[in-house]
Amino acid sequence: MISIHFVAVALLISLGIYAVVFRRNLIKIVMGISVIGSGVNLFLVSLGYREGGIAPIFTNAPQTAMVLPVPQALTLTSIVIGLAVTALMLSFTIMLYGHWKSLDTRKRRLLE
Amino acid sequence: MSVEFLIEHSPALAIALPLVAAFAAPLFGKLGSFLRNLWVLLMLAFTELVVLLMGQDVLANGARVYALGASVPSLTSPFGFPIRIVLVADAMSALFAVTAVSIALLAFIYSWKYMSDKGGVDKFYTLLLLLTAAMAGLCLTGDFFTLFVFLEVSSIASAGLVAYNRSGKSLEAAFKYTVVSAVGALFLLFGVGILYGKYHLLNMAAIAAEMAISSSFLDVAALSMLASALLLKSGAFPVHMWKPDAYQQAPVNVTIMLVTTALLSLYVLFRICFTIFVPVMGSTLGWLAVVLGAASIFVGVTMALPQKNLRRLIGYAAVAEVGYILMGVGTSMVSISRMDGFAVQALSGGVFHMINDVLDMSLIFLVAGGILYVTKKQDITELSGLGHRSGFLTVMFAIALLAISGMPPMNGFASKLLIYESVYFLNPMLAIIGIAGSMMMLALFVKIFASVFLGAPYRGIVAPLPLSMAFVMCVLAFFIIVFGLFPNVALDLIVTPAVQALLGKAAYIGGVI
Amino acid sequence: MIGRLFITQSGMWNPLSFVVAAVIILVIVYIIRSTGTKKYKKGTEQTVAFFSGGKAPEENVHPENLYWGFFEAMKRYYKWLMKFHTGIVNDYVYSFVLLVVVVAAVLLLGGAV
Repeated sequence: MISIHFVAVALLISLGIYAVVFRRNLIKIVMGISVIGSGVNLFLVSLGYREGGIAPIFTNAPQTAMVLPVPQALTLTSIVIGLAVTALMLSFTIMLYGHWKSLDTRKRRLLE
Repeated sequence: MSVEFLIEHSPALAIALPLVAAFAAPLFGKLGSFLRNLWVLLMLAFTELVVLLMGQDVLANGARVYALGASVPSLTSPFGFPIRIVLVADAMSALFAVTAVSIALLAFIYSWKYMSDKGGVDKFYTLLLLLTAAMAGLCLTGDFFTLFVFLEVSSIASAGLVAYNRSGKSLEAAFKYTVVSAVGALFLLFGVGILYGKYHLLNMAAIAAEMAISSSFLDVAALSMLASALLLKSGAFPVHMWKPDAYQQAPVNVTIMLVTTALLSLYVLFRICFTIFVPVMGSTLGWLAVVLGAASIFVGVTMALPQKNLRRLIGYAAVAEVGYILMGVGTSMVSISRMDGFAVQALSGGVFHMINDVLDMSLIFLVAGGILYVTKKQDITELSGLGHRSGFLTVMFAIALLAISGMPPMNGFASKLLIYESVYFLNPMLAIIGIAGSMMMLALFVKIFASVFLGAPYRGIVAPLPLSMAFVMCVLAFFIIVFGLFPNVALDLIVTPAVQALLGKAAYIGGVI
Repeated sequence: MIGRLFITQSGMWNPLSFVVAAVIILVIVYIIRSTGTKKYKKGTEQTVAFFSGGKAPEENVHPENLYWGFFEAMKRYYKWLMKFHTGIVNDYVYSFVLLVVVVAAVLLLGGAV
C-alpha cells in the first residue's frame, strides 16, 4: 500500500537530512530543516487524505463520508511553527554573519 | 474568584497566566521598569499559587483531567470522539509543574538585580514567561500534538534567551540549539504522525489503551523517533553537545530554566514510556536507558575535567546528572518486566534525583552567576582566593558541590543511594560506573573550589552581592539541606505519590478516557 | 523525625549520623587548633605558603593541572573524545540521526516487535 506520497515524504526528509548533515553553509542548513519540515507536513496531510471524502462542514452536508480535519489542523499548526523557527534561524544567521563575516559552520566553534 | 474555581481550572490557568503576563510585560515596561517587574512578580506568584493548589488537590483527590473547549472541563471524549486537547494533572505532572514554576519564580527574583543594568529587559521577561508557559504545558499535556507545540515554544523561547547577550558566541550557541531542537522536534512530529496514522488518535491514554500486548514495526519506529527527540532535548550522551554550549553562553538565570526544561523533557519521555511502551517492550527500553545513562555519566564527567570555563564545566556535569536519572528510571523499566521488586525503589530514586538535580544545578549555576556578577570574570584560571572576599558565595558553592557529587548529608546522596542500590542488582558494573562518576564529580568540583575560593586573597574589585540574588541561593540551599536531612519526608510527601501515578497506568488511562 | 532511619530495600541510613559526625570532627579540629603555637606573628616567614621547599611564586599556583596524571594516563581516550566533540553543528545533527537509527535498531533486535 505504499503510495507515491510516502515515497515523496521519504525523499524530502532524506534530502533535508543530507543538507543539514553535510552542507557547511548556515543558510543551506536552514533550508535543509525547512525541507525536512515540508516532508513531515506532507506526511501528515497524506495521512488525512480520503478518496471521495468531503470537507467536514456540517451545514447542508450530503450523506457521504467526511474527512476528519485533525491532520489538516496539525499541518497548519506545524507550518506556522516551522515559519517561526525558520525566521528565528535566519535572523541568527544574519547576526552571526555580522559578527564573523562567514557562514561556514567549521570556521567558528565554541570549544574550551 | 473562589478557590474552587482556581482549582477547577488550574491546569489551564497554569499555562494561560504566564502567557498573559508574557505579552503584557512590554506594555508595563512602557510605564517603567519597577511596575513591569512588579507585574511579572505578581503574575508568577499567582501562577505558583495556582500550581500549588493544583498539587494539593491532586494529592488529596486524585488526578484531574481538563479538556479544553468542553462545556464541562472533565468531559474528555463526548460521543466517543477522543481527539481533543486534554490536559492531565496527576501527582507526577503536578510535581513537575510546581518545580518548573518555582524555578521560574526564583529565576525572576534573581534577575531583578542581575538584569537591572542590561538593555532589552522587557523582551527578556516576555521570553522568560513564554518559556514558563511552555514548561507548564509540557508537564500537563495529555496528547501528543500539544506536546509538540509546547516543545517548539520552549525551544524558540529558550533560543531567544540563550542569544540574549548577542555576542558572537552566544548567537552561535543559540543557532546550534535551534538547529538541533528544530530537527529533533520535526522527528518527534514524524513519530506522532506515524502513531496517528496507525491509531487515528493523538491522546496518550487512548493510544495506550489501543496498543495491544505486542507492538508492530510502526510503533517501534514512532517510539525511536519520540525517544530520540526527547533525549536530545534532555541532553543525554550522544546528543549532549548543544548543552555545554547553551549553558555556557546563556545568562545564568536562563540557564537554570534550561536545566529545568531538559528535565521536563525527560519527564515527558518517562510518561510516554511508562504509559504506552513499557508493558510491551520494557526490558529492551530499560536496558537502552541504562546503557545511555552510564555512557552519559562517563562522557559527561570526563569531558568536564579538562574544561576551563566554569559554566561550560558545569554544563558537562549536567550531562552526567541526566545519566543518573536515566540509569535509575531504566532500571525501573527492566525491573517491571522482570518483576524483581526493584521497580518502585529505582523509579523513586530517578524521580527524586530529577527534583534534586534541578535544585543542585540551579544553585551551582546561580553561584557561578554570583561570581560573575561580583568579579566580572568567569575563567577559573583568572580567579583565586575569592573565599577571603565573599564568604557567602563560598558556603553556597560548598553546599552545591557536596549536593551535586552526592555527598551525605546533602540531597544528592539520598537519591543516588536509591539509584546505586537498585542498579547494583541489575549489574554491579553499572553501579561502579555510577559511583566512580560521583567521585570524579567531587574531584572536579573540589578542583574548582580550590581554584576559585582558596589561595591568597583575591586582589581585584569585588562588587557586593545583591540581597535578592542571595535570597534565591538561600532558598535553594534550604531545600537541598532539608531534602538531604529528611529524605523520608520528601519521599513520602511528594515522590512516592508521583511514582505511583507514573506506575499506575490503568488509573491514568481510566481517568482520561 | 530527626534520626528517623532512611530505609532502602536492602539497607538503611541515618542522615543524622553524618551531622553528628560533622559536629564531632569540627570539635576535634577546634581542639587541635586551640593547642596551636603562640609564636605566630603576621608578616613574618611563617605566613609564606610552603612550596616544596622552593620560593612560592607571587601569584597563586592554579590547580588546573591538578589531574595531569589522569589526563596523561587517559590520553588515547581523550584524543578520541576530543575528536568526537568537534563543536560543528552538522556533527550534532549527525549524532542525533545516528541515535534514532541506533534506538530503532536496538528496539527491533531486542525483541520489541
